[in-house]
Amino acid sequence: MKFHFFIFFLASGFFVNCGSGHNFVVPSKPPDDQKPVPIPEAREVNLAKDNVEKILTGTLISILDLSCHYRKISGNSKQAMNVDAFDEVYNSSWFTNRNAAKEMSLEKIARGPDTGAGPDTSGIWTIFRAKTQGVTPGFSIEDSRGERYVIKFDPIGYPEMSTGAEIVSTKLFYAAGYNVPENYICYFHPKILRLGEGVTVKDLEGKKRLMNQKDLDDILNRVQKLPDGIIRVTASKYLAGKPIGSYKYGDVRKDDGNDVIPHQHRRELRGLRVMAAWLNHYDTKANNSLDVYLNEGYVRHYLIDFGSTLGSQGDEPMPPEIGREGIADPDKVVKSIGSFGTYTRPWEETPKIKYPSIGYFVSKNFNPHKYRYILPNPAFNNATGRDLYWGAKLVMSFSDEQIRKAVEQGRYSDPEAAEYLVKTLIERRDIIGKYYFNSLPPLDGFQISKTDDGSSRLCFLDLAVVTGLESKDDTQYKFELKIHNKSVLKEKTLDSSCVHLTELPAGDKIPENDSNTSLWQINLQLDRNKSGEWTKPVKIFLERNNISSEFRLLGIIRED
Amino acid sequence: MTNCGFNYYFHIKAALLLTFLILFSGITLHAQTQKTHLDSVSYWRNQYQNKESWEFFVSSPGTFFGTPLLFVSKFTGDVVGYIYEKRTIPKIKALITSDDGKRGGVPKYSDRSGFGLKIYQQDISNPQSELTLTAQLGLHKRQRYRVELERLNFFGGPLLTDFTAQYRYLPNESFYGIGPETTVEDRSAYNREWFDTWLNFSIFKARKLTFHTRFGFEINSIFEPQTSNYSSIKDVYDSETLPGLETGIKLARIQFDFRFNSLVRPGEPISGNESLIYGGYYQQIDGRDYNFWEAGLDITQYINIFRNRVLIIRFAGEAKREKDDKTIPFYRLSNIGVRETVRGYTRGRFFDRDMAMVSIEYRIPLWHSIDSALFFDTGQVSKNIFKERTIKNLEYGVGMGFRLWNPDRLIATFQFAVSPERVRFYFVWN
Repeated sequence: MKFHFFIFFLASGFFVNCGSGHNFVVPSKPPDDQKPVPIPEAREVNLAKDNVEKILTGTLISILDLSCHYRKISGNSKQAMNVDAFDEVYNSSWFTNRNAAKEMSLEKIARGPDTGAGPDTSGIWTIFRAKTQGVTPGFSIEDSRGERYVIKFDPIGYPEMSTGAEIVSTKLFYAAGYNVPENYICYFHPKILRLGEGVTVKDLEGKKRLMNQKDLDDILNRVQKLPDGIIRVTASKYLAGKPIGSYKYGDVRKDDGNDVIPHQHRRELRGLRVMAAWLNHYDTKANNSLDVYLNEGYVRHYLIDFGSTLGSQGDEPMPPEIGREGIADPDKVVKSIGSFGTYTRPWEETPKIKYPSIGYFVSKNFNPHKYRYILPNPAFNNATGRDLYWGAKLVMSFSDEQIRKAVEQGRYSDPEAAEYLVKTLIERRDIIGKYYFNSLPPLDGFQISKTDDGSSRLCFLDLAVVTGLESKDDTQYKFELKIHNKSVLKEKTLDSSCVHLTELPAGDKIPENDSNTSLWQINLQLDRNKSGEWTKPVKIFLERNNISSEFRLLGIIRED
Repeated sequence: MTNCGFNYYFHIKAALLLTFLILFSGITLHAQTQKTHLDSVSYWRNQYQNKESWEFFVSSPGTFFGTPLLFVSKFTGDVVGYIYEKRTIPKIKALITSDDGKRGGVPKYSDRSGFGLKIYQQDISNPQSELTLTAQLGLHKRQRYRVELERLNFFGGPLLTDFTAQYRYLPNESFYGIGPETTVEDRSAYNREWFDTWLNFSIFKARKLTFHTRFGFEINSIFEPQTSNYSSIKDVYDSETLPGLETGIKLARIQFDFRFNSLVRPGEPISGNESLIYGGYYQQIDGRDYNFWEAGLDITQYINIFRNRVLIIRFAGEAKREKDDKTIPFYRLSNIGVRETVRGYTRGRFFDRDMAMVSIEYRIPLWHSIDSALFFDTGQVSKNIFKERTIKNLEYGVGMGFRLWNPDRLIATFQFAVSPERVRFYFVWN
């Protein structure tokens, strides 16, 4: 029996590790997920059940999943399933490559997903839906043009905090590539509100009854107002199409014919972990997402509800423990007791809120890799180094000016507060870059180009240098050349960020084969401080036409 | 999905694995004819399966042994989800809670009295007044019923009146004998039925200092125990050797106490002092056997060391004395071993006329409204604590616990304590 297991593990080990060979196979492209499919059934994720499933069932499954442990031990984590040959994500109903693929103009950053100017505040707003219970009451309105919006408020004592966070995060998530609703800051006077016919509210027991003026007054009494009675709100435009409920961060939606890749293995959802850490979006539960069946006949997947991001927790400033600690973390509990209380924890701090419009948002002690989400997230838990590096690229794609432009859209009345938010976002961005660009070599943007004399070269970007995190002078690169899996040139140091392919003394070493093409593999490494400590290689695969001596990029393998 | 290349070695490895699967797992492999359905959803889902075949196989032992646990967790999720969806808890709360919040009910549990429910109605005669009805049931017919009318202000001013009546049935209580040198082998058992009622008058002085006068009446009966694991107390002793073994002993009492309370955050104090000095006189009503007095003090100081790490030092002592040639029923003697004294012993482990104890507890915040506590208790009983100035019979227990609280009250505690004799767990939900 032992022999059988030995054979099995041997076989499975070979099978798992076969990716570490030198052949390069272009990953197959996932099917188009924007094809017309029958409308899936609308569903509502039961929050309590979802929490138990994540905390209890999800933990059990991860403990019992021996193959996952085996993968971790063997250093072969399951990679995202929807990446291309260059480890980038395909455009889909989930994600559209935007700023990281091509720098967006400041105007586009400012516009974000917006197609209009928000609700018309010169006419009547008719309330057609309302929520009176809970910590963040609100309602939905139809303006004089017939456009529908969800109206969200700032809590008393913290003007601009929740609404500002909603807008800034909307702009940044959109520019990163995620689908988000059109969110607008607007100011209105309560006198333009009218209760629509048949609007109901639920009481604590879930019983419905007709909403009355007192209910509306109760809502408005609980929100921040300007001295003249004007109220600043976020108006979130109803998404075009039919909402069919939230998506989960694990499995697929079985009745959506386009949804074939398990969500926990989608690169954009795994990489969201880094974006979410940057923007303090700790509450990435299913209910903060929305699937919408578009008129075109497919489902688009949205991130929604960013009122609890940055320094805002919706109805109060973000508590200091958010992002730094989960609910009663066992290791922290042991540490507290074991140190006899000398170890103090973030939630014990009394946060100093310098800017009520920002809330509690700091870069001090921000550790993106240890950022804690309120609940386990299957996609985040499955994220590999490659996914997180990709997520960091999204974050690092934002320039200081773009961040400033996004913050401007929050329309903060205190310029000092807005500048503080900009500064904190930049600092957190750079912390992310420094961490993840040191975890994997940030060599990217590979291109084959021609020099003036017509010879070919492979050029790349060192994103840490490009983004100003590291100095080019302190960095050195080297590469190894393999042709048909045979090393023909070892450890050649580079003077620039280009490998001159035509000049490589390898032409005469090309192993003979019958093909007109040969497979070149360049293993590129960097040494950041010229200390002799080289990173793991980024493997770049090229096809050389042996007749024309032209090169074609096939793809890369970035080792975790 | 790994980047497996389709090379020669790959096929050998794959063949090896597949052969193994066929031979040893009994899995029948289906021909991949489904690939013809390139556009089908199932085809693509097969292409992007969460797990590859070998992963399913490797995980199968975990899946097999973990299935019962997963079933339980799934079931738990379904139940929690159903309760949430149907808003069961708000509905129950609404059912027993009045709209103005003055009437309501809360669950209770203690290892001494069992599970139960406390129903309250505030604002009976004055805004501070409250009527509470408590019923608790535990194993072996353990029972406790209690009616309390608290903080009635009949006379105006700072004088408040409380009235309490309770019935308790405590089966299989332990008794080891009187004195500090009893051993665990001396254990016997009894059932105790106890009806107690009292009228209490309180005078507040500057809120921190209160003076209480209490008039009480109680009926006590001792019965054979339900357990056969230990000797019956009535087989070991008779009423000559152990006072209080009879049934229906009626005692009247008058008690006085001064209380000082300067606690900050009463639900889980972070600083301040809580002190009690008391005295009482007990007289049997329908006989002349029992007549005694008691006096005691209980001082607790809370010291906030830093960031709500609180050191709690408590000293308590009690003395009981017979009057003339009368005696004290054994269950009214001072004792050590209950949760409020030295933790880690069987309840009622040590009885004698006097008792003194010291407790040091250190509380550390673990999360919002959850603290942990490390404690050390020590104390002893003696016949006369003023004459027997020895500590050779000191009992001690150490332990730790967790406390769930809100600013106004302690909601639950879970503690475990270790003494030289045993380990004890305590759980209280209030």
